[in-house]
Amino acid sequence: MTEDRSIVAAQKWMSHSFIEATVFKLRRYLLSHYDALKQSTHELRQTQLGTLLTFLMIGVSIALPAGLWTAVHNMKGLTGGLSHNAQISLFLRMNISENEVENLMDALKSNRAIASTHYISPEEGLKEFSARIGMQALGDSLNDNPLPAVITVEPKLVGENDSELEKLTVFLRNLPGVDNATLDFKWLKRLHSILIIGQRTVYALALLLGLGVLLVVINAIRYLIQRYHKQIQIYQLVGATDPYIRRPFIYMGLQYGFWGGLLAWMMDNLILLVLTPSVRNLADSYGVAFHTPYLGIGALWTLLFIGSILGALGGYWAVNSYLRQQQRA
Amino acid sequence: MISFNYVTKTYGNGFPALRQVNFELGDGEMAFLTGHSGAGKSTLLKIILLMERCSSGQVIVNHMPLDKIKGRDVAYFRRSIGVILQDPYLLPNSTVHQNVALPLVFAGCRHQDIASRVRAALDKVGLLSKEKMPIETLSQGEQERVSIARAIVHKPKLLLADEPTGNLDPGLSAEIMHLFEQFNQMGVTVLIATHDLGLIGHLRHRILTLHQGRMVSTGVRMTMHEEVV
Repeated sequence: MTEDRSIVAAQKWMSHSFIEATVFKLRRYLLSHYDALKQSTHELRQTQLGTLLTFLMIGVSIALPAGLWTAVHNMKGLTGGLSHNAQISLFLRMNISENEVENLMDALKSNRAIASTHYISPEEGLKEFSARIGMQALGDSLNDNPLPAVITVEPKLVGENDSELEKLTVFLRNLPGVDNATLDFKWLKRLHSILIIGQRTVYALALLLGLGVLLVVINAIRYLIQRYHKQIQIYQLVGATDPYIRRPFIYMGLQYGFWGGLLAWMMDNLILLVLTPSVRNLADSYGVAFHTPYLGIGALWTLLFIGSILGALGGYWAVNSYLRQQQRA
Repeated sequence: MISFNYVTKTYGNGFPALRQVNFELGDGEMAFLTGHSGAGKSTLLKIILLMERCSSGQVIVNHMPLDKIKGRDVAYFRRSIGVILQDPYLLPNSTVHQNVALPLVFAGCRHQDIASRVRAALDKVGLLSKEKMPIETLSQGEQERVSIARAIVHKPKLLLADEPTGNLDPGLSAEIMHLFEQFNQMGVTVLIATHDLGLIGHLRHRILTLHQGRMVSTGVRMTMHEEVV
């Protein structure tokens, strides 16, 4: 019995000391990260001008693809709005009866691909046409109304599905009572093609400038490593591990990327602030609703994340290649 | 314990720094490594420290064959050795305490332990009163002693020194040698590379002599009388 108790006590003591040791190790690990962060911040403060220039270089490198992406994204939004408002005009037969029109309207309303329909009688059409050309008396001077009845159809399909829109147009053209159906869609198709090219250019540019960020950080960190060459040698001599030596430089890279990302976000928003009024005017001229395309908090987090990751990777690569070189020497 | 078995080190340019070197240094022993400049003293110490790998042969340090130690374990291995170099290799813009504490920080010691052990090490080298002083304000001799304090603070089994008295005057050099002897009396194995034969002649320790990369003498205990003879 006494033996059992002593075993339990020993187990308790062991588990307690195990937890204590684990907590101590974890605390030591976190503290070493905190120290590395502090050390890297101190170093960046020491070389203020150099640090600021590096921040700016990274900021510009991130701002460019981010800004272009925003522009393309917003253009896509605009053209999406255009195609959503795209109309198919159905020109009805001249001698179509009211009954036939009603049947046709019912058929269109029950079609799932159609968002809305609007019937324009020949009289309304003539009135509108007269008003547009500024000849109010045109209707009176004509014995017969030459215009057919028209139904404007607004499809539900979104911009990218232009082939679907064309299919719908063909379908509507073949409905009984319809003489012709038109969809002026080619310019929109061209715009979509341009936007796709733009989007791919942005991806390529983002990749190149991402590489640029990486190289800027690597270069900056390599310069710092040269300054700390002797200190690193001392650390190695007295038993510092490679991760310990790497850590401050990784944090320096991370800080370069982080602040660069923040600057990129600010620069892009500043540019958008300047451009917004002109873009709004253009959108208004096409009758499209335009929302201010500022980079929000989500975009900020994304840029900070991308910048930090690229920076940390650059820092890691620079210091690691230095350590490997040292091992080879 | 240090054991060199037919160790050769040839650098990339084909220069043979060490040729078929054999010697053993037992636990708790103290020895001097002598030879002219370029004889291979520093290379030998670098091999023990794993700053260089030998081209052939086998080196055993503290009962560990060095060729079995992988790159990522080198740092842990170095923690079992205390090193003193001619250039004291101290951190500028840091205090004496911060410099001496380094090995303990890397070993992950607790803050309180670090403080007490640093003070103990500084007390041994007579610099306790300068604990908080910036390293730049110390004289060359004091900096050398800080370097010694850093080398012994983590109680290593082996102490290596490369020309530790190279920049010091004779009085200070003798004082430093006396410190090494004290550590040796505590059971630490000590190997000191020096070309100052006048300084080590009167000390009763083994003298290993290198000449053009070859170990020409692995020495026996010497007294000043024996050397004169």
